[in-house]
Amino acid sequence: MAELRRWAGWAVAAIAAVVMVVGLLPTNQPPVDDAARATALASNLRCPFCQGESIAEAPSQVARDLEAFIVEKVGEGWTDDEIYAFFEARYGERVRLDPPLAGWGAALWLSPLALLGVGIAAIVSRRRDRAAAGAAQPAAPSQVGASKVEVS
Amino acid sequence: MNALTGYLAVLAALGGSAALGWTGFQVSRGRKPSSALRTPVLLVVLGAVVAMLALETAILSHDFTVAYVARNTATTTPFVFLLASGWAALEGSIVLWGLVLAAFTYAVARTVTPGDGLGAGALSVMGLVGVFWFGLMATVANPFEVCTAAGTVGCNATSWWPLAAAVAPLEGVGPNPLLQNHILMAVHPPMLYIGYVGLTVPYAFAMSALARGERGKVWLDRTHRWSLVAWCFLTFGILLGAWWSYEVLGWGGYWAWDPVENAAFLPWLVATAFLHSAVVQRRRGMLQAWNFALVISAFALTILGTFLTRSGVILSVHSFTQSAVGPTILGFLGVVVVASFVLFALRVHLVASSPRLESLASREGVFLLNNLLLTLFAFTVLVGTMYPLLIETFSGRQVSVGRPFFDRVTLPVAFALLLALGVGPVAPYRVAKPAVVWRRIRTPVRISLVAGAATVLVGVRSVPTVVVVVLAAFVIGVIVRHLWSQITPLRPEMGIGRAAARLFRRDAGYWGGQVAHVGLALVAVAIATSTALAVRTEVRLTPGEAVPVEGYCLRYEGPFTESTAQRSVEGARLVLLRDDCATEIRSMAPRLNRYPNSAQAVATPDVRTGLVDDVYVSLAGGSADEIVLDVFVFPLMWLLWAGGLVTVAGGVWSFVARKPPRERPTARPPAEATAHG
Repeated sequence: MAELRRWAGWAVAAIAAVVMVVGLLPTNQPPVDDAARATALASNLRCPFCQGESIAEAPSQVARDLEAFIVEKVGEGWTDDEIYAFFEARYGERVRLDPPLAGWGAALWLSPLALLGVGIAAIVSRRRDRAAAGAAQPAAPSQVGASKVEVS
Repeated sequence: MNALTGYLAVLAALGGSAALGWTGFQVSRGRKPSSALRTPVLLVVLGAVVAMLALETAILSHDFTVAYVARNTATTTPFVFLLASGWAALEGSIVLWGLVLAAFTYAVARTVTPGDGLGAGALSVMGLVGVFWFGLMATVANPFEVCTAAGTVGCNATSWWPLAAAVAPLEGVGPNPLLQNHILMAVHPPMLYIGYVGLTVPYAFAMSALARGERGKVWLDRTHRWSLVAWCFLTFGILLGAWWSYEVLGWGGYWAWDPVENAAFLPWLVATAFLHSAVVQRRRGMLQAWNFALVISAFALTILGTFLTRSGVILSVHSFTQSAVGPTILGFLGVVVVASFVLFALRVHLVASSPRLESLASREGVFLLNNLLLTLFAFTVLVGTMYPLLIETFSGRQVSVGRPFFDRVTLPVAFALLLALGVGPVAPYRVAKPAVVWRRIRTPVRISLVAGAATVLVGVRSVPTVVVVVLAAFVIGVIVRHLWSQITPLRPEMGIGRAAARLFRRDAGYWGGQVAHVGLALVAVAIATSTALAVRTEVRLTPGEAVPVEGYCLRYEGPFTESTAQRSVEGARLVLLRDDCATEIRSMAPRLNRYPNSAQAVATPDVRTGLVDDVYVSLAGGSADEIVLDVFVFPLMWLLWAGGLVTVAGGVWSFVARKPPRERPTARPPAEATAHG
């Protein structure tokens, strides 16, 4: 009986997993229509005359007008890059709330990955050293400090 | 008179801090008895209290000879906002900061017993920190400057010399409109300050332990409660800030990754990492050097936060040099970072030697993962916040980093943190056997899968939201299962309620932490639903008209105006109805407030909070015949506030219910300390 209950529990979990995966399949996702694209663009562009908010978020008339402009251009078939380029040409590169993945922008985007790599390497190499040194040998404390300071 | 009293009090506190720095050092070396600390501490406390009182007296009595009063208050300002003006502007905020620091210094001094070198050293460090803040008040951020030339409103020229011939303008400029708009603006910064300043205590003890080359976990034991206090206030301050942003600011959100928000969030992340890594050192003696690094970083980030919020550097890199406050704080930050890490590098071999990590698959391993992830999170926020400043400083180019960057980069880190939060409590210390872990997680895994499927079945198609629901259900499932397994053996004896109460009291630190985890899981769900499933529409209405909006219906009754000496209000009277446009839910009144000292109107939205979703209505503009409304629907918003409060409650519980650790302030033989420390 207990065995049966356990199997029933897992059967329910398996069905749940299937429901979840099927429900979230790309074919069941809402299509990326013009409205969704315009919203995404408006949230990635800074409202040039507001207090640092995106065009999508800023509660001002200027932001509404710019949003309407984006919707219009998306409707006319402009690509994302064309719209970004238009805004950058007009208001400078600070309108991009997500700096492009080039030059210093690449450093910005990739630095968390680099830190993750350093952190994992530090933990793994400490484990290796320890394993090699054996249980009797405590690790060199200076190295403990050194490998950790970078992470801070 | 107020100016003179206040300035003398600042000087007294400054002198007391300097004396404390020196005497604390001497006492810590055993060259003076610990009773020598009493006078400097009292001087600091007295000076800080009198300074705050003098400023408040000047404000409440409309003493416009004090330039700060003329600049930040007016005779029409209501009483509570007058009171809050004492700490709401730059100079006043530093007076409050000094007061909080004095309170912490006093509380630490009470724990210092004769022969307690570590505690005396910590007081010395707190004295040095005090020298900076009170020094700032005595020089570049002097709240007691007197007005030497009055304008029609406010002050045209000032002098730092408190006996200079003072004149009083007839009227002051008045508080910042955002402050006047809602009292929460006056309440949430002090919460954050208590959190910020509270982090000075573990920092001071860490520095003292490093300088004395004192091994072991004594400094951690003595500062654990202080760290918890600081953490609780930081958490609560951030929560209040988010709530204020949502309920008062009217842009339809609670978190914008704004540098001011990040400034509060950064120390919180590092303090959270520290609370966890401190557990590892206290329990298993590991991560000793790492704990020093974290405490120094957390303290440095509080200074960086003050710099970002108080120097005007955010508006433009070039505006911060207009006042000397920014460069001074930046200089202090540099001194703190360099001095602390030099001391750390010189002494770390004396104080830190960690035992072996037996297996990455263990409680310690998960703690390590937690620290890596929180550090990564903090680093990401720090880089994103500083990037525009650094780029502009070094290349002159103006760039922005906003929500798209922060959301995208922190999302995977947050997912991993949630997962670690679920796995942590089930992983045993030392080595986790897969069979043991599996037995502990199999039920939560099933529950979380069902929760995910249910979310999909109610129509949610956003992958991140479903992932968050699955992870949060897993976290909560694991904690509840664990609690239940602990209650079961006690149940026949005392029943569920008393068994749970006994567990919570007996291991308050652990269960308080688990309560905080449940709160964070709820917050994660609320963030996901309110971000991915929120709907926003712009609605135009003429009087009498009703339109359906996202499952509800709004009817516009007509405009209204209010006018007081303090402000004038233009608002819209609305009725929120069910989607049939007939059943009334409640009336709503979003407003625009105008203050005499500012051209820009401040919006106050109206929010109707429901169990399923919030309806958030903000007045965007319009004319006599037609108004423009921004209407948002945020699913499950109440979970955000509830989860945040649960998180704070967990922190408070581990602080309040935990028996204070037995303090052994006298120097212990180093060998004994390391044996289990």
